[in-house]
Amino acid sequence: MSDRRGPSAVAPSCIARRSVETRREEGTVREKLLNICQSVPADFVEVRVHEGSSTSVDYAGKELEDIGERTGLGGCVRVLKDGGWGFTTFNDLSEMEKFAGLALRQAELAGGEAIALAPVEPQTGAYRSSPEIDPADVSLSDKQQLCHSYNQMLLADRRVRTSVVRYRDSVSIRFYANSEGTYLEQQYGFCGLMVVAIAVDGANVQRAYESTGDLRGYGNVLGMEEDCDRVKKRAVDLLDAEPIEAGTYSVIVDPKLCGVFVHEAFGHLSEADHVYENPRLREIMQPGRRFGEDFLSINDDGTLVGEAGFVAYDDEGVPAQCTPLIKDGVLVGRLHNRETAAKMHEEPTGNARAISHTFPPIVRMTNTYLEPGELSFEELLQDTEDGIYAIGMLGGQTDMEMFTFSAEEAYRIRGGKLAEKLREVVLTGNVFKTLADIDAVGRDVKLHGGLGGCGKAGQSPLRVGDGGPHCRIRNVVIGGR
Amino acid sequence: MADPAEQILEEAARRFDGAEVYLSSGETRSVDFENNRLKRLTARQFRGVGLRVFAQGRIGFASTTDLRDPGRLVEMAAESARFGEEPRFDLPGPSEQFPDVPTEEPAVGDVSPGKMVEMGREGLEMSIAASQEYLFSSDISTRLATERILNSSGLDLQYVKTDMAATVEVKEIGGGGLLEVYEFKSWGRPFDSISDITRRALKAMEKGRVIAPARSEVMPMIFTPKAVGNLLEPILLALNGKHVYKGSSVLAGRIGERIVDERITILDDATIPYAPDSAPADSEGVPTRPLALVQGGELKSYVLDLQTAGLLGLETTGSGYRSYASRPSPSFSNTVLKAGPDAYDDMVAGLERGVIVDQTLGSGQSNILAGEFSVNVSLAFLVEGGKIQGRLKDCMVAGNVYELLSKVEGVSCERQWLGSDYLPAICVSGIKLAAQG
Repeated sequence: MSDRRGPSAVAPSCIARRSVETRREEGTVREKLLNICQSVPADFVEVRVHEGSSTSVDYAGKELEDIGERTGLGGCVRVLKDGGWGFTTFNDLSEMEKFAGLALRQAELAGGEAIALAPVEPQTGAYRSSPEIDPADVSLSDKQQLCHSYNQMLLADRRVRTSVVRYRDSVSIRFYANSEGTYLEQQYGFCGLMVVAIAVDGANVQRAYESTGDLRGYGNVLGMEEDCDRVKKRAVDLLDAEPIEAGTYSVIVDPKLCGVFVHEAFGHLSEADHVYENPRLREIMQPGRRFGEDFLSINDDGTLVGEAGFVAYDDEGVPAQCTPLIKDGVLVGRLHNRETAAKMHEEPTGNARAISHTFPPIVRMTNTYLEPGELSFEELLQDTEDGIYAIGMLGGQTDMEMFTFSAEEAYRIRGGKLAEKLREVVLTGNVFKTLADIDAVGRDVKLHGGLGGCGKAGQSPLRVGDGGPHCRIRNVVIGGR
Repeated sequence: MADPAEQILEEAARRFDGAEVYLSSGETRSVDFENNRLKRLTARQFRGVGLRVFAQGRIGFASTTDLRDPGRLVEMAAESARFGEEPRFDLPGPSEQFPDVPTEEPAVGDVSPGKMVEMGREGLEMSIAASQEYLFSSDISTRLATERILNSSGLDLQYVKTDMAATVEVKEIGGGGLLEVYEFKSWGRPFDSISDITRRALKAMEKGRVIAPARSEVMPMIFTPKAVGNLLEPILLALNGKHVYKGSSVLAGRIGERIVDERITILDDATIPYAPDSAPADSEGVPTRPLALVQGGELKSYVLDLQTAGLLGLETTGSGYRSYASRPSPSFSNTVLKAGPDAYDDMVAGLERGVIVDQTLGSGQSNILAGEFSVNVSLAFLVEGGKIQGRLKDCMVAGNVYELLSKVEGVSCERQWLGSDYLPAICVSGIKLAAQG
């Protein structure tokens, strides 16, 4: 099961300000990791070392509940031998050889029918994200002041009972080596902020939030005064909104919700690890199969610098790329790691990602979005006689057939105009059918990252971006009252 | 090398007015079966430390897994304390009150990866025997962890937690779409087979192959232990002392009031031998004890840690939990729902027209602070005349848990451990099923 988390989730873990020290050791790290890869007698060996630090500032109501820094250091070894994978992880890097040996023994025990890895040219490279304003150059005091001022704005309205302001920045340095000679050093800096207002009236509790977060640096979190005002107003307005009546509706989703929809309704299905060992699903997911109308095109693009899902190389050392998944309504591609690509006789796509050193890389999305159509939002709205306008996302989940996603805010549409405000809008659909129910696509694409991220196979949260334009979906079941 | 935890405490205690070190270390082993084949064996070793300090009337916190430079951890905690909250509590000293809770069974460490592979193969064979079309996945794991809490008030508590866990997931893609059933178990002592949870999953798979027609209607519904969490989640959130203090809990100020049906009793109990979340103390070093949260439908207690209790002017309930990387925060240990008088089979037999909800999708995404839940029923069965007619698909179920749990029709006498929750099945009346069309 896979899910996309909204406000309740935490920021990416790990990450580092100790880059100076590590840089100095650079030569030795490279030799050491490559040596270990060569020393283990197996079909394939890879070593990853992740070092990092993160800074948090958390206001909840009037209290500054958490502020400060966390650091992390750890490594892992993954070994493939005779069709079996062995994987070991550790925090004490001085024991790396021991854990490499253990990984080999684990792989030998797991052995079975052969596993091939799709060939990739050995890579040598370094990547370092360079934000305009590096959070490392901003004092903790300034970060605290900024959060404090947002928090004061939220709490200024007496109907707002309590608030959350959550700031996160993190630096992750990732060293990667494998037995084919690939050696990479990558450094990513994430920065984001979330504001939440909780309005209370008796037993009626309503919550609204805004969240920002990607690799663009500290500029992300500046100038969010308008967001605070909007969040405050939305939470208070929701107190008077009516729960939606359960039923089947035409729904216009905004770009943020469109992103969650694309992520849940199709993105996870395009992850080849769900498909490659599943003969029935392979039949259904044949390239060339039509999933939607001609105006439906979906891509996953890891190369979008600055977006939350950007990677230079994935955690198997494969360069990121843009992978069209649906083109003009027809299935054209899917997301791979090296194992799934080999098994399905396709090319690797650079989508093997791990949230930290404690997990092996698995097939994940990067930045997934629906391509723009031609309509303006006003045209979409005017063309909708009766329906729902659903805005913002609280989260989503899929089991590869059914999916749910929830809107933060919603309005009834009557006669092409926005009418009363609604709440408790959780939408559901079927991944194989719902894309065909998209009957109109807007032109205003936006991508969104934010705090939180994607969860899969116990690995959560992974930073991803997703988005799209306003679009309209028919026959959506909503589980209201 | 000197003991890192003691070294950090010594340095921090010298420098600050008070200090607390939380060190978590250990190892896990796991065996993964994916899509009918043994995929991977994993061994993990972990070690992390959290440092909480009192400095000039403020709390500071920092954590790391990098023990090469303990001095840096102390510096980070000092920086954090420049801005931190005022403490509303004293660090607890050594206690005579720690309950005698067994949490360690060394035999867990003796379960070899080879044995776990064997257990997984047995499950796989059962699945293949049931249907060649089924795809079986399973994760079987053991964990040995040492938790240590030291503070400048003289507390030095260390205990070992052992745990063995297994998940089983069986799925099939056929004419009716995808059918996927998961089961799991976890305990402080080893088990030597996963056939029990595999059998349960296969039984549900068999029943799920028939699709029943769905229409939107209001019906009684039985939530199996696996699905009861949907009804509990909003209540547990509202019982969290933090939400009570902030005013965002709908249960704030309502101790002593009847909040749900009298058949509902919810306990938080960290003293059950070998249960997944049992411990002699919470992670602030406060002794644990069984805690009635809701008794006979009446609100009895919130869960509190030291700081939240201090802010509310109450005593801690010994519910300050954390990982090494986080500050303590009010949380739950083992959640126990009292069994009822009704046999599960009788509850089903008594349904003239209703639904059994077993697995859901999308929990926690609605306004759970207000008690709302709204989920897709990814595995649910239509019952007519007391008999299961087939699986309901593409439907949503929604409601307010306080309203629903005031309309309880039955609570089963059988209970099931699901992770750290020990739960019966609950039947409630008058829930809306929303179907397409």
